[in-house]
Parts: sequence; C-alpha cells; structure tokens
Amino acid sequence: MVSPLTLKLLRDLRGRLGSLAALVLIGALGVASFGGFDSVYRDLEAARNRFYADYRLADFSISLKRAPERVLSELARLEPVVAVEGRVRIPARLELTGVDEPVQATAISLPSPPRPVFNDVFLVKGSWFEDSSGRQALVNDAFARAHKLRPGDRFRAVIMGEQHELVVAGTVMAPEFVYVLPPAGGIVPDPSRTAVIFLPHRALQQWADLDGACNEILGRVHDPRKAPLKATLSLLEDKLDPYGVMISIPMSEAPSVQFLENELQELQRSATILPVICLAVVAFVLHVVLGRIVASQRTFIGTVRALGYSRWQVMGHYLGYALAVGMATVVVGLSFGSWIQGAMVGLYRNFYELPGLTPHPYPQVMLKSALAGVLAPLLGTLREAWTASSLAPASAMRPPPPERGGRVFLEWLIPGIWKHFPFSIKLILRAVLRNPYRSLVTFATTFVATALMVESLCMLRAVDAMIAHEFSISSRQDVSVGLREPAGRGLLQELVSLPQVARVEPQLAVSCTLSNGPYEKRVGVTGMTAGHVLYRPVDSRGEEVPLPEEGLVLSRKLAEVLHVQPGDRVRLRPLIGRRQVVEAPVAALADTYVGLAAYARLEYLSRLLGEEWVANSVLLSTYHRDPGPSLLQELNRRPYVLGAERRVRALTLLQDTIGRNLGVFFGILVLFTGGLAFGGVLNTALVSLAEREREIGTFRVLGYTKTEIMGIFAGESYLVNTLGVLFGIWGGVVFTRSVVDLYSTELFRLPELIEPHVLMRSGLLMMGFISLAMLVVYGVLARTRWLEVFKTRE
Amino acid sequence: MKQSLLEVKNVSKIYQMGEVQVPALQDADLEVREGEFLVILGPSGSGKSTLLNLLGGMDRPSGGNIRFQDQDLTRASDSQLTSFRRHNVGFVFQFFNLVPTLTALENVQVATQIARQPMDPLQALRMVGLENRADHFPSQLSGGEQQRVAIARALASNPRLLLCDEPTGNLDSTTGRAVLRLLWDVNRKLNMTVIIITHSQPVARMGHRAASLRDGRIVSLTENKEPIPPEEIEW
Ligand SMILES: Nc1ncnc2c1ncn2[C@@H]1O[C@H](COP(=O)(O)OP(=O)(O)OP(=O)(O)O)[C@@H](O)[C@H]1O
Ligand SMILES: [Mg+2]
Repeated sequence: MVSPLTLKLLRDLRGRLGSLAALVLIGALGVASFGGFDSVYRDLEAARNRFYADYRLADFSISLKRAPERVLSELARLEPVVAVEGRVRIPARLELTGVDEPVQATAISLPSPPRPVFNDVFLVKGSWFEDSSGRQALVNDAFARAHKLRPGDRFRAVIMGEQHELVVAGTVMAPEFVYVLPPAGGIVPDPSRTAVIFLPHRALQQWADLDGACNEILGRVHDPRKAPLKATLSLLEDKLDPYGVMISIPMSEAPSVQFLENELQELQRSATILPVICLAVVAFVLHVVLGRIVASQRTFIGTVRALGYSRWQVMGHYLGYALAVGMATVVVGLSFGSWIQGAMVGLYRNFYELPGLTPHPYPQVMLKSALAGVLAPLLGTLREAWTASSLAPASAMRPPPPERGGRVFLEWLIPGIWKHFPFSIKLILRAVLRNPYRSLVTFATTFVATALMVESLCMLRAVDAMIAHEFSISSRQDVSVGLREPAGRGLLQELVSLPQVARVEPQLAVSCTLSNGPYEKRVGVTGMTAGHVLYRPVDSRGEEVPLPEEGLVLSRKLAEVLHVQPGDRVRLRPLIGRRQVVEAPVAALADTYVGLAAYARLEYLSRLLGEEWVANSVLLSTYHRDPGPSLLQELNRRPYVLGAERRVRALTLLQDTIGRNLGVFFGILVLFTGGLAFGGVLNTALVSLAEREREIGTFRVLGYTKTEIMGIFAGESYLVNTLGVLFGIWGGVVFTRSVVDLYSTELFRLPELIEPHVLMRSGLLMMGFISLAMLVVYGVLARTRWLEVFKTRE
Repeated sequence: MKQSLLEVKNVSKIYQMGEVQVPALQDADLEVREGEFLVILGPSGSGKSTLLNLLGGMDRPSGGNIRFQDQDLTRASDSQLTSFRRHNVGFVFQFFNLVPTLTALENVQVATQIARQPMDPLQALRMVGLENRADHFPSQLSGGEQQRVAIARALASNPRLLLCDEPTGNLDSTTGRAVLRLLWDVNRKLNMTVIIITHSQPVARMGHRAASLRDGRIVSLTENKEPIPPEEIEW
C-alpha cells in the first residue's frame, strides 16, 4: 500500500507540474551538457590518442631542402634520438575529370615498405600499393568522399610541373592530417579542394628530384617534453644545417594536432560552464519553492508529528520533492545528453578524419552527471527539509506567525513622496522589499539569463565581424596565386596582362622565428610593397596600420605572446635564405583573429633574405568579384604557379561552416537562455502567486478584475525582473569580455564586440521571455478558484 | 412594505466532486428587502456560505434564478459579476482577509480606489472607531480591530449590500458584540442592507428576519417584530 505521505507528495507534485517541469528542463540541460560534452570529449580524446599511438605519430618533423639518406643513420645515433626516418613531402596539384577547379594537394612518400616507421596511415577502403612503380596512390578519405573517388578511379597529379597519371589504390586517414586545412590559408577544411596523397617512396623521390635523399625528417626522442625536445631540435638543426633546414617543429605544433588539442580544451570548458549554471539555478529555485511549501504546511507537519511520524519521515517527505525533480532531471538529461553526444560526434566525423570516432556510452560519466542532477536539487533543499523536520509538533500546530507588516525603508527615506503613491505601487514596493529573499532569487535568475543572452548575441555578432574583418576589410583580393619559387618584378607584368585582371600586388611570405628574451614564436612574416591595397593589416576598428620602412607590424596576440609593445625590438631570424638574425623594431600592432601574423615591407624582407626584390605570392583583383574557373585554369597552366585560389570560395566556405556551426550553437544558447529566463520567472512568479492566494481572493471579492489584479502582480515581477535585466546586461558585458579572453588562443580569437544595439536587443528579448512567463501566470491566475481559499484558515 | 433588493427563486447549487454530486443548496426561495437586517442560521455544512456567495455574485447557481433589482445574476458573465461586486456588495469574512502588507488606511483604499462613489477612507475608519490606527499594519492590530478594518473596507465603497460570513466567528464574545453593534449601526444609520451568517441562535434576534438552513434547504424564515440590539442579547 502506498503510504499517505507519498500520496500527498504525489498530489503536491502534480499540483505544481508546470513550474516543476520548467525546472526539470533547466536541470536536464545541465545534466545533458555535463554528460554529453564530457562523453564527446572522451570519445574524441580516446580516438585521437589511439590513432596517434597505433599509427606512430612522430615527436618532431624537420623540413629541409635536401638531405641525403645517409645522414639519417648519423642522426639516429645521437643520444636523445630514438629513431628517425626521412620522407618526401611536396606540393602537388590534382586534376580530376569533370572538376574545373584544381585541387591543392600535399604529396607524401611512404618510406620503408611495408609500412613507414612514423606517421603511418590507416586504410579505410581499397588496398595498399601493389608495387613501388608510382602508378598507384593512396588519397585521404575526406577528399575521396567529396569526389566519390573509389579504388580503381583515375586522376592526374602535377608534381614539379610534370603530369602523372595515377590510380586510386585506397583511401586513408593519417594521424598528422586529422584536420586538413587548405594550404593557402583558411581555417576550415575544404575537402573538395584540398587533398593529401601518399605515394611509394622511390617514385616520389624521382618525381621530386630527390633521388637518394629526402626533404622531411620525422623522428622520436627519449624525452618528448617540451624543453628537452626543443633542445634536441636545435641540436638537429645544427647537424642538418648544410642541407638547408627550413622548419623544425615538435609534432604537437603541427596545425592538425594543435587544432584537435584546442577543440578538446574547448569541450572541457563547455562541459563545465553550462552545467554549473543550470544546476545552480535548479538548486536555488527549488530551495525557494520548498521553503514556501514548508512554511505553508506547518499545520500539516505538526499534525503528522503529533500522530507519531518521526522527524526523519517528515524530512524524507520534503526531500521527496527534490528527489522527484532530480530523478526526472536525470532521466530527461541523460537521454538528451546521449543525443548531444551522438549529434556532436556525428558533426566531428564530418570535419575530422579520425578512425574509430564513434559515440560510446561511459557509465562513469553517466553516473557522475546523474549524481550531479540528483544532488543539486537535494543540496538546494536540505536546509528546508531540515527546518521542516525540526518543527516541534506543538509549534507547528500553532497558526503561522502573522505575515510581517511594517514599513519598508523607502517610507522612512521619502515619507513625503511615499504618501502620494497609489496603494498599488505601495503594495508592489512593499512586496518586493519585504520579501528580499524571494526578490533576490528572481533577480538572480533573470540576471544570469540576461548575461547569457547578451553573451550569445555578442558572440553571434563577433563571428560575423570576425569574418568581415578577415575577408573583407583586411584582405580584398579576388584571387591569390602562390608561386613555386620566389620571383622578381617581371612576373607582375605578365600576370597583369591576363584577361580579367585589374590589379596585381606582390607578397613575400617568409617563415621566421621571432624572439624576445625567453619568448619565441615561429610565424610567417608577410611582406608588401608600398601602395598595397589588396591586403592590409588593420586594427580592430578596421583602420589600416601603415608598414614601416624598417621593422615589423605584429598582430596583437603575437605581441602578447612575445611580451613586446610598439617601440620594442624583437630578434628576427628567417628560416630560409641567409638566415641572418636581425633586430627589428616593432612599429605598431594590428588585429587578426585567425593565427598569428607579422607584417613588413617586401623590400625589407627581401634584403633579409639577401635579395633585392622578390615575391612568392601575388594577389590579383579582377573586374568581377568572382572571376570563375577560366582564370584559375589559365593561371594553373603556368609552371611557376603553385596554386591559385578564389577568395569568394574561401569566404563562402567559411560562412557556411563556421558561420553555420557557431550560428546554430549560439542560436541554441539564445533559446536556452530564453528558457532559463522563462522557467526562472515562471517559477518564482507561481510561488509568489500561491503565497498570495488569499490576498488575490480578497481583491476578487472586492470587485477587482483579473486584469487589475494581474497589474499589481505583474508590477512586482516586472520591477524585479527589469532590474535583473538591466544588471544582467552589465553582467553580460563583463561575461562576454571574459569569454572572449577565455577563448582567445593563438589559433583563433573573436573580436570583443559590444554594441549598444545588441545590448538593447538582448534586453528586449529578455523582456519578451519574461512577458511570456507572465502570460502563463495570468492564465493560472484566471483559472484559480479563488472562492476556495476562504474555506481554510491557511 | 420595503422594496425588494434581491430575489432568489428556486435556486440550487450542486458541487461536482468527481463522480459524486454534492447538493449544497436546494430549491432556495428568498427575497432580500432593501434596508433589512437578515440573519442566516444553520448547522455546519447546511449551505449558509453557499447561499451568501450566490447572493454576493461570487458564484453562479446550478439552477434557479437570482435577480438583483433588474439584473439577472444567473446569466451574468464573469466581468458582469465582478462589476456587480465592485459597485453593490461589501464583504466581511470570518478570517478578516486584510492585505498584510498594507496599513489599515491603505486596506480601505483598496476598496475606495475602484468604487464609483466611495467614502473618504479615513471617514470609514472613523465610523468603525479606528481613525487613530490608520497607519497600523494588520499584524499590529487585534483580531477585533482587524475585523473592524475589514468592515470599514466593506462600507467604504458605499455598497447596497453588506454580506458577512461569520464575522464574529474568530472573536471573543465582547469583541464580537462590538462588531455586531457596528453592523447594527451600519444598518440603521446608513440604511444599508446587511446579511450575516451566524452559528448562534440568539444573534438571530437582532435581525429583522432570520432564515434557517438545514441540509441545503431553507427550512424556516421568521419575521422579528422587535429586533434587539446586540448588547441586550444573552448568549
Ligand atoms: N467547492 C466545493 N466542492 C464540493 N462540495 C462543497 C464545496 N463547497 C461546499 N461544499 C459542500 O457544500 C455543503 C455546504 O457548504 P457550505 O460551505 O455552504 O456550508 P456552511 O453552512 O457554510 O457550513 P459552515 O457553517 O461550516 O461554514 C457542504 O456539505 C460542503 O461539503
Ligand atoms: Mg460557511
């Protein structure tokens, strides 16, 4: 038989179903994001770690002009080195029948058959090479999927100006190319235009003019920690100096590896922030709700205690509310969480070429999030349940102490003005000020929701602004052309005479190490000629930052990393050419949101390389914003062109992926915040409605209409909530700043964009959600059977 | 013969409780006259409150007909009932039902604010002898004082009809007597129609008429030739 206490609990719960459901939803979001994001994190981390380990990701890579293979055994004998292997890595252009735009590719040799020592590849479809002739190639899986390439399909690769007919042997995933970025910059993968192909070592050696040699060395060290690895790398650089070292990096700094690491960190952050907010709100609101329930059920408590129920039974009864909410929260939250996990892992599978990335159930994660979901409401109500259980039967049977009357401080403060307030205003002000706790809860909920809303909307705008900044304000070329070898002025004449081309501007990008004392960073320094307009360093307001004759302009983040300010000097060492170290003054700072950047005059950079004037890429503007494929084909036919890319494509891609994904993310956040505001406001309003039932009944009897009563009631709610919204906007500004800070990495940042109209819109949206909640409250008020309340004493 | 104010014809009220029907009031016939003092008597559960609520436009009957002068309360809409209460009825409850966060004066203003021809709120408090308590909150008043404030609130809108559901139910006999005296005065001096519910037989003697209810029916309606003021009643 069900105990009468349980029956009462169930009836009480049913009576508050609406507001408790809102609370359960908020809690479920917390549980879901806690468990969901953590599970995604584990899926991604496990798949990554397994892939890196099983496919032997190297500790470092060194690229150079040409190192004879015999050097490798020398290196392997060095004390800190475990093993090394040389391979060939060279840019290629792929041509597929029926695809009019060329594909930028990286061709990589797979040495030491049957499998390379480091950076092995995972075979998704098809088979390994049958021989080392170079008739067959392995292509990365995302590219193959983008073009529906299957084993046996043919394509052409242009390597060092020569065409090679290739057959797809199989499709693969490679640990160093989990996240494949277009070589010509850009921060989102473009699998249909970017490829990685793997070829037999001998064949690629021949095609790349590297017989008996290699141009990239991978290796493993005994101590892969950062500092010793750096030391080893500089030792290796010295040894390899005669062979033209270009870049040596720890594998952890490879773009794909870094991106993945970054994503994992962000997942971890998301698995903390959202759940904490949600569950805190649930605990807080339930704390208030139960406090009111206990206060209104004193007589009931006294009665059952007098009848001989123990205080633990009473305590258990009241904890039952929290337990019910907690259990519903867990059920909804866990299923929603596994949905989040599935959806996000699915999303990642589109972006990442990572074998074994599938959603797995994690019992500990579920247990952990379930525990959080139950504990939050229990902790929130512990004190109330305790209070209930410690009421002595006698005192509980006495009528509740009369509701406190008395003046509020405003009446003492401004008695003259107070006198003239209509009683409804007095009623509202007294209700707010005399129930500071209730008001505080309402205020806090609205405050948090508004702050989140401001943050979401500001971030949405920031994403747009970032894209505009990078792709319209800063760079305005229509086509960018990468050159195989640095070239002189003559080339510009040739390019400008092409059809459609309106303007050409040379650029020289040089990988350099910048350092300031202990702080060191490798970046590409971009050189531009006087009068450049197609690409300009700009500050956050979009103002152009002029380039000095001598010295550098740094991106703000880079300056931060190097601990320098305009006027300071940095040591600059080019990684190609004569590698002469110079002291360069930092002239000014510019703002970029993707990667780190440094800018200089092209002539200045050329001189550092020991040349007078060279460029290694050219920006074109055309008469049409989108020149179409014919110009690109024309460009790609030229042997000195490494690759050409239309900006329209990069921009569309960026807007499509980043824009859409972040848009959806923040869109969901906006809805969620709205829900939070709605649920919070609804709960506190319904509690205070229940508390004031008798008052409302009295008003009804006296002939007040529902609308008039709602006016008084809503007045209180709006007063507190409006304050919550106003302070919340301020809180949101602070919050946005800290989120921008938190998510500011060397790879990616968002502008700190706080616009008055966005703040206004957040405020209005919040007031909308609050009004929606008020509408529901009005519905409840209209349906309340006010006659009934007079039948009981309390 | 005094003019009739309310006419109750064949009225019944049935509460639906799931499957069960509870007949709280059956075949009630009653004519309330302008300016009379009517006492409703009866044991607990006999339907007194149900009848009073119907008279005051707080509820609608399940059958029969109630008229307030030319207004049919039976078919009145929610807002028509609200306006009826606002302009014609004053209510006094057993549990006072003052708004705890308003002072005595402000509680009276709750009524005067929406009335068509209200009294001065302070004047209303003076009538119940509480003008010097105007700034007190309900929690700072005794039960009798709270009930007097409630009466002042009911009077202040100058209603035609003052309805009191066990106004002395929560008061000791001396205080109760004072409250009844107040109602007596209101009836005589303001010529206001007063209907009160009581459990106590002797109180019936202060009314012009007394209606007795039993099991949801009006079992008797007696006329009182000489009503006795409350302080002369023994109980
Ligand atoms: N909302 C309701 N639902 C169901 N039954 C009700 C309801 N209100 C009253 N009743 C029933 O109607 C009958 C009359 O109730 P009413 O309140 O009119 O009695 P009363 O004469 O005022 O009693 P008391 O002197 O105890 O106040 C009772 O049997 C009661 O149980
Ligand atoms: Mg009654």
